[in-house]
Order: sequence, then structure tokens, then C-alpha cells
Amino acid sequence: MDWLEITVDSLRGSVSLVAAAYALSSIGLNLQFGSAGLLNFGHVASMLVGAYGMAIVVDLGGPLLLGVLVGVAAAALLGWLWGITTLRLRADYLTVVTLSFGEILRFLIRSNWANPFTKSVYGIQRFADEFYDWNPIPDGDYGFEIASNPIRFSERQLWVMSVCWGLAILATLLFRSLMRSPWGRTVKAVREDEDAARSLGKNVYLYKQQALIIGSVIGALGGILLGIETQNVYPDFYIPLVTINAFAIVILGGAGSVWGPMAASIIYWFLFEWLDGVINSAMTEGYFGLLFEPADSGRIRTVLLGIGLVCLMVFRPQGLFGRRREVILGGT
Amino acid sequence: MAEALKSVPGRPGVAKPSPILVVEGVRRAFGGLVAVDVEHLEIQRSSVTALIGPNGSGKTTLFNLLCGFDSVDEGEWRIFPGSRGGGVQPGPEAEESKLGEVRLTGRQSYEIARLGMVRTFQLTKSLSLLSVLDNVLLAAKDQVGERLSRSLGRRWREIDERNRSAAMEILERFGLAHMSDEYAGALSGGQRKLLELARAVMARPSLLLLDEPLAGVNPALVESILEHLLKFPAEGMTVLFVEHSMDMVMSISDWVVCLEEGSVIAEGPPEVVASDPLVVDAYLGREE
Amino acid sequence: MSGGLLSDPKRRVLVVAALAIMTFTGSFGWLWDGAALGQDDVDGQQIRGVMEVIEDEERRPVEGVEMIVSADGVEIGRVRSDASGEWSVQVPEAGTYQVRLEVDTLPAGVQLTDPERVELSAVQVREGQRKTVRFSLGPGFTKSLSTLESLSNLVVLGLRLGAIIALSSVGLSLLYSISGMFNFAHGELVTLGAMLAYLLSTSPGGPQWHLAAAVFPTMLMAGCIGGLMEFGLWRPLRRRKTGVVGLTLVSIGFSLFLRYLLLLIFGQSPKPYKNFNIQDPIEFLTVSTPPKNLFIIGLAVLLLLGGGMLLRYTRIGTAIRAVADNRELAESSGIDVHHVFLVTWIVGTALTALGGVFLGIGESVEWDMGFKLLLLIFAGMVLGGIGTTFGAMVGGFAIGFLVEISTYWVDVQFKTAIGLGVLVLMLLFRPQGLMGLRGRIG
Ligand SMILES: Nc1ncnc2c1ncn2[C@@H]1O[C@H](COP(=O)(O)OP(=O)(O)OP(=O)(O)O)[C@@H](O)[C@H]1O
Ligand SMILES: [Mg+2]
Repeated sequence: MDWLEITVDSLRGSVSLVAAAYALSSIGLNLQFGSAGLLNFGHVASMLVGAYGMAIVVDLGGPLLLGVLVGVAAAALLGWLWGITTLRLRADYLTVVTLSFGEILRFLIRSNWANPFTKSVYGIQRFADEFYDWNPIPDGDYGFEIASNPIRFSERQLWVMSVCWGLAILATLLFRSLMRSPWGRTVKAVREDEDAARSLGKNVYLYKQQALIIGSVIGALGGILLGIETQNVYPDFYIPLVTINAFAIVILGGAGSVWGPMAASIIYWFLFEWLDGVINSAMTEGYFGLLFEPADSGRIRTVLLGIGLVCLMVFRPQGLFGRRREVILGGT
Repeated sequence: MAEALKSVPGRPGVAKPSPILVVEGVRRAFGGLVAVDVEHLEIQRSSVTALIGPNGSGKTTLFNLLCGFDSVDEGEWRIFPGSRGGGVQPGPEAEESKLGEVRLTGRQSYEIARLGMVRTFQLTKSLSLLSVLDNVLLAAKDQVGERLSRSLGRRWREIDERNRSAAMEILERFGLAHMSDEYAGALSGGQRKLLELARAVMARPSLLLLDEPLAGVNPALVESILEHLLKFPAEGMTVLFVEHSMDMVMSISDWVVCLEEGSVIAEGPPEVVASDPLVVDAYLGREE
Repeated sequence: MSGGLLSDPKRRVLVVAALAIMTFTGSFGWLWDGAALGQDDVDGQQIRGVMEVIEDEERRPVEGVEMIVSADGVEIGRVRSDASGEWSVQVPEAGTYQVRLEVDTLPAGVQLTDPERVELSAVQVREGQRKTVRFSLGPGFTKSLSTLESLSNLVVLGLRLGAIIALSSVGLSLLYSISGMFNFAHGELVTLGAMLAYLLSTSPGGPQWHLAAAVFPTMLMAGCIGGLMEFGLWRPLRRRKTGVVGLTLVSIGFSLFLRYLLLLIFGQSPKPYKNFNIQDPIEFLTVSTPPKNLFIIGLAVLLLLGGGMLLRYTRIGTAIRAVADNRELAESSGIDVHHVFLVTWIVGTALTALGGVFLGIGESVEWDMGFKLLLLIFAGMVLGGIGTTFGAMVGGFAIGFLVEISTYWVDVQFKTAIGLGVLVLMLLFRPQGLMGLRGRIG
């Protein structure tokens, strides 16, 4: 097993577009869950409507920018829908409804009935050429080597990555200014105790609704960039597992923390790639004997993710950087 | 205006010369149990009124109903915010209030708070992961930065600065200034009571409903807070408070209302109510 | 609960996690032979197809048709088409394969348009290719069903699904009412039940009992696992005063862990039980249905009634209701809350596992069958009124019924979406559910 190669590959993965897109998307979830305390189990739906909104518009012949706008608008609409269906009810309905919304959307775009727009299971491809036309980075291979293990990106990859990390930083700054403003103070108060906030004249419903919408829009941007990178959107990517990845990132970084999602996304995808590398090479070297097959490596990783999330919640709910007493998940 | 009460006869449901709150026929039952059934009740403006009654007599439930945290089976109530105090945050409701009378029946709790009726809770609700200062700042009125559309602008910072010094002043009054940067969750039970009181005062309501504000607060501090409480009417805040200690009720209230099994059985000046046989029977008798 | 090792909640979580992992890996050996058959590889190459009848522009998927893929007479894998008619078999390497359709498994009213073409003898698969092959199906010469007949058959299917949902929802709903938490790992308990029964009855490495004999041991084992989870995970978390949000997140992590662990053990392709698989339909009035469906419905109704009685008239039932009503009050009046939780977990998991077995009999055993069902269970709970166990039963029946009946008008692929649609509509217009806000009828 070549540990160095695995580690360098994982380093590459930790700054790749996937990490950037998840960082961006998790900032949206962090606003909903970390700041406003809304347990949104359908975050993947924001990414879905963002990516599909864009892809469908381009596929029908529209310009990419219009597609992005449509995707973002659709995500805002989705956030609003979550709100009107659940916010006036008990808080725990939100988990069930958001999870269901995500799955309904996935079933819908997957169906034959939506085929003219979504191409059902086959998905939509090659809708982001325009984005690469804007690429100012000259052709070439960029990067360096660590002990002859390369960390290199093509000009295309570098371009999407820069845009996405740039957006993630912008979103983080936006998050920070929002949370430092009186608006953020009120949102936190709503999370801590709705009745107390109400007794001081705060329209709790409005604040939650706003947090849902903004979070959904930021989440959609992550989905859009992920779509642009692969130039491929298909329904079965948008399974609830994506939401759980985002939750793992938010909790790892400390729910509600400003730079948490970005830092945690880097760490998370490093671990992800590292586990992948280790499991795969253990497999090719036959350490597992007959127990596992090549196809199992992704599944083993997901099992570990599940265990990891449970352990994180049990042993370190404040995340990597938080302080124990600041745990927002603890209160009953 | 408390003098105005001198000429008011002490009997349940009596009219006051200048009421800030009028409650009519408010009823709430939980299953078969009638928790609140108030036929008529008026609260005199700029007075300190005590609401007493044995455990389970419906005081907290009445507060919940009046402030929109629970819905009534029947009845209605109105507030006359008058020129002073106003609302927590001027909104469309405040326009209406210039007319002098606002019906509160069926309104949302946050609207009621904006109309100037702010309450505290018997079981303290501190916002644990906000600092003590932020807890108080939260209650400040007219903060433009509280609107999403203005939260990224600069204008709120100026206002926030002003609010901050006002908040520190209030914290000073309640002996919490030295804790202003702590998380509210780190406070003791008594300190949380004080924080909640400070928060309510920061909202500058015209009518303040306090549910056992001094339960669990150390006696030395109680004295100074009572003094503050007595000044509230002059600052434009009418106070209606629930308290079990008769000493305290006697020492600061202008008027006392006694509930039993949800209904007003007596009201009047403290000395009169305290010696009312019905009250002694229902309340003091049972307490001992 | 001897002190020492188990007294520290952290350590107890670890011990139980280790036990759980050992149990599962222990069952690896048993299941292995059976599981290897259908193992497939998402990254590798596969042969796939869609079983559907095309009739006047309309496509109707055909479920449960068995396909056998072999290479030079050696069987590589066999699968059945799923509810949307899809099937796929993973093949180990590029090469030439034979694909045969098991004609016996075609449902009534569906036939091969070319009866000679039951086997495709030279299917070329390239490296990493997802090779699609077609069998062309058409309406057979057997009489087609009248509206009334197909509707009444759907009624039976609807009742069957409803019974399964209702059985599985009891545990979830009881647990919700006593702890205020939605257990997102509940779906995996359904799968667990189905797989335990598969292990005992069908798996080549298992004891090969008759499925009927395996049902009770399955429920017993599942009950034990439920008790273990309460004892090792949830109780320590409650002791540490973990909030509902924290618990819910733990449950979703746990669900992920269990689901993919079961996938690892069982493999991706659905497998039927060896018993009650294909039955001759019995006919009465306008209904024609295999007897197993009627058994499932009858047994479920009996069990649900029995459960309701227990909840209403036994001491432990009263205790459960008391804790659900007001935990602090129950605690202070001398009810052992931890005991109540333990019993709820054991009974709830056992019933859920039975739901899983029934689902496996009705359709087939698959790694994510429970997760798919979970969404419908939630829908049933919301429909009936969250927090009322009786409501959850009624809601479960109603959702199963609605979902199956809807397939008469709507494409089957919308089945789950319809159930979830009902959930959303219900929340919008009658959030307290059919059974009202405070109807705590046990
Ligand atoms: N949510 C509720 N459901 C059912 N009964 C309730 C509810 N809230 C209050 N009650 C009942 O209404 C009655 C009045 O309760 P309330 O809390 O208003 O009393 P209180 O006067 O504030 O008592 P204390 O002095 O102990 O605070 C009590 O008998 C109580 O049991
Ligand atoms: Mg009270």
C-alpha cells in the first residue's frame, strides 16, 4: 500500500471542486440548521433544483446565466414551499417533509412523464460549455508534485474550482455579516427559544422562512457548480445521502460556526478520499480475501460515514473546533 | 395616576378611571377544567397592579391568553396604549393604536408584543447561547438591521451603538453589567429571572406583565429591584405582576386583583384585599 | 447492568457497537454464498433491461419477471424486474453472455410477442458497459381484466401494503410519542426483519427452515436487537440529556450505517424467499389473488388489534401511555421510564421486523426496501395524526390503500410520490391528521 500516494491523492481531493461545492452548499445548510435550528433533511433538493433549473434552461436553448438565475429562483421557491408547509406546525414535521420533498422531486424528474424536460434517468449533459468559454486561464496543467506524486489540475478544473471556492468565501462572508447583524441575533434567538422571541415582538415565522430561503439558494449554488463541473445531471445523484454528507460537514465544522463548513469540507473530503484509497488498495492487495468485492468499497465507506456521524454526535457534538458548552444540538 | 385609584371602590370587575387594558368575558377550559373565566377586568394606566391567587388559580394561563400564547374559548380584550410607551416596534399596528384602542383578540403573540404588551415567563426563558448583552439588545425597539433587507447595510450600526449603551444601563440597574459578555446559559436561576426582566424593560412596553419576577432572587437584590419597579409607571410602563409573597404585594402595589379557580373573586387596594374574608379563605387560608 | 464495564455511557456505546458489528460480520459467512449470486458492481459492466408491455403508445412496466444471465452455461446471476420493470445483472468481465427470460414468471395477461425468443444467446458486453437488452412483451391472448377486476385486485394489494405499513409504523409511532423523536433508522429495522427471515429460510448457508417456521425466531431476534439498541445507544444518550435534534441526527447516521451494512452483506439485487414465492391465485367474486396476500392482511389485522388491546388493558400498556402523555409526571408517579422504553423498543422492533417479512413475501427482499417504506410510514403517521398509535395504524392502512389504488390511473413509478404528496397535502390542510389532535386512543 502506497501511503504517500494515497495521502497526496487525498490532498488533491480536499481542494477539488467536490469539496468546494460541498463547502458552498453546506454554508446554506449551516444557516438553516446551525443558525436557525431548522433540521432540514432535504437539503439535496436545493442542489437538485439549482442544477436542474440551469440544465433544463440551457437544454431548451437558453443562455447559461439565465439557467443559473432560474435554478436560484427555483431554490428560493423551494425554501418558501418548505416554510409554508411546515413552519406553522411542530418543528419535527420539518424533517419529514423536507426529506419527502427531496424524494418526490427525485421521483418526478426521474419519471417518463418529465422526460421531455429532464430526460428521466439518463439526465442532461453538456450544458455548461458557455461557462468554460469564459475561462480566462490559459490552457495547461497547473500544480506541483510531492515526492513525484502530482497534485495537478487542468485549466478547466482550475477555473471551476476558483469560481466555486471564491463563491464559498463570499458566502461565508455573507453568512458572517448576516449573523453579526441584528437579523442574525434574532435568528439565533428564534433557534434558542421561539416563545421568548415572540414575547419580544419577533415574527418567528418570518425569520425561519427567510433562513430557509437563503439557505436553499446558497445550497443551490453548490449544486449548480457541481453540475457545471461534471456537465452531467441525473436524478440518482440527488439521493438523501448527499444531505447527510452536508450535515456531516456542518457538524464536523461546528454547527453555526462561520468558517466551519469550509474547513470541515476540506477535512471531510480529505478523509473521504483517503478512506477510498486505503480501502481500494486493501482490496487490490487482497487483504479482505473473499469478504468484499471491488463494488463494495463505496459501501464500506458509507458504513463508516454512518458510524462516524453517530460517533461525532455522541462524542463531539460541538464539532472539531467548537467548545463543548456551545453545543446548539444539546438542548431539549 | 395611581392616586386616581383612591376613589375606586374595591369590588370585582370595577371600572377604572383610565384603563390601559380591558378584559371582557375571557374564558379558557382545558377539557372539563375551567382554568380562566374572567368576566370583566380593567387595569389602571401607570399603576402597579398585583395579580394574586393560590397555585393553579389561572394566573399564568391568563397571561398566556392575554399575550396570544394560548387561544381563548371566548371573550375579548383591548389595550389603550395611549401616547406614552407606544409599541415595541412601530409597525402597521402602531398606526391603529393612535386611535387609542386596539382589539387584541385573536392576534399573534408577536403583534401583541409590538403593540406594547410584553410579558415574562414563570419558567424563565433565557436565550442560552446568546450573550447577556445580546439578550437585552434583542428586545430593543426600532432596529432597522433586524430586517433582512437592511441587515447588510451600515445604518443599523449607529442605532445598535445607541441600543448598546441603553442596554448596558439597564443591565447595570439589574446588577448584571459585569456578566454582559457571558452566555446567558451560564447565569444562575435568579440571574436569569433578572435578565428576563431586563429584557422586557429594554422593550419599553406600555404594559409589562411579569409572572413571578422575583421568585428565586436573593433578598438583598429584591429590595433594589422593587425600587426600580416602583419607578416604572413614571417611565410610562404600567406593571401587572404575579407574586405569591404577600409582603411584597403589600409593599409595592397600588391595586391587587385576586383570582380563584380562574375568576376574579376580589380586587381593591392591598390592605382591603388582604383582609377580604373571601381572599383570606381562598388564598391565605389555603396557603398555610 | 453490572457496574464496571457498562456503567460509563460512552463505553457502553462502544461495547454495543462492537457487539453489533460482530453479530453482523458473524452472519457474513452464513449469508455469503447466497449473497454472492446477485452481487453487482456499479463501476463494472452489467446487463440490464426494462420489462414493459407497450400497447397503444402506453408503457406498462411488468414486475417480478425472472431473468437468468449465464456464460457458457454457467449461471452468473438471476434477478427479477422491480416495480418499474427494471432489472440488471452485474457481469464479471467483458465477453459474451446468454440471457434467458423465465416464461413461467410472466404475470397473467403478458406474453412474449415472439414466443421463440426466450433466450438471447450472444449478448456482447464491453468493458464497463451497461448493456441494455430487450425482450419484447405484449398483451397475451389470455383474457384481459375488466376495470372492476383490476380495481378489486388493487384493493387487495392496497390492503396488503396498508397492513405492512401499519405493522411497521406501530414501533415508530410509540417511540415518537414517548421520546418526541422520529427514528430515521426505523426503515432499516424493516429490512433487518426481512433479511433475518431470509437468512433462516432461504440463504444457502442458513438452516433452510420453512419460512413460516422462521417468522417467530425472526421476530425474537429482531426484538433482541431492538432491545440492544435501546440499551446500548439510546438509553445512554438520554442519560446525557441529548436533545431531540441530536437524537434525530444520531438516528439518521445510524440508519446510514445499518442500511449500507445490510447492502454489504446482502448484495444489491433483490431476492425472493424460497417459500410462498409463486402461488396459484384463488378466485372469489371479482378478485383473483395469491392466498399469501390474504394471509398477510388477516394476520396483520389480528396482531394490530391484539397490540391495541395490550396497550389499552395491560399494566405496561398503561405505563407506555402515561409516559407518552407526560414523561416527568409518569416518572414522579413511580413508573420506570427506562423499562417502558426497553419494552417499547423490543415490541416495536419485533412488529416492524414482521412487517419486513411480509413485505419480503409480497415483493422481494432488498437492501433499501425499508428505507423506501419509511417514507410511506411517515406519510401514514401524518395522515393518521402524529403521536397517536391508533392513528398511525389507520393512516398506514389508508396510505397503502391509496398508493396501490392510484396505480390504476397513475404510472406505478409515481407510487411513492403519491404517498408523499398525500403527506404534504395533509400537512397543509389538516395537520392534526385524521384522528384529531389529542386523540390518544392508545
Ligand atoms: N396546557 C394545559 N393543559 C391542561 N391544563 C392546564 C394547562 N395549563 C394550565 N392548566 C391547568 O389550568 C389551571 C391553571 O394553571 P395556571 O398555570 O394558570 O395556574 P397559576 O395560577 O399560574 O399557578 P401557580 O401559582 O402555581 O403558577 C391549573 O389547574 C392547571 O393544571
Ligand atoms: Mg403560574
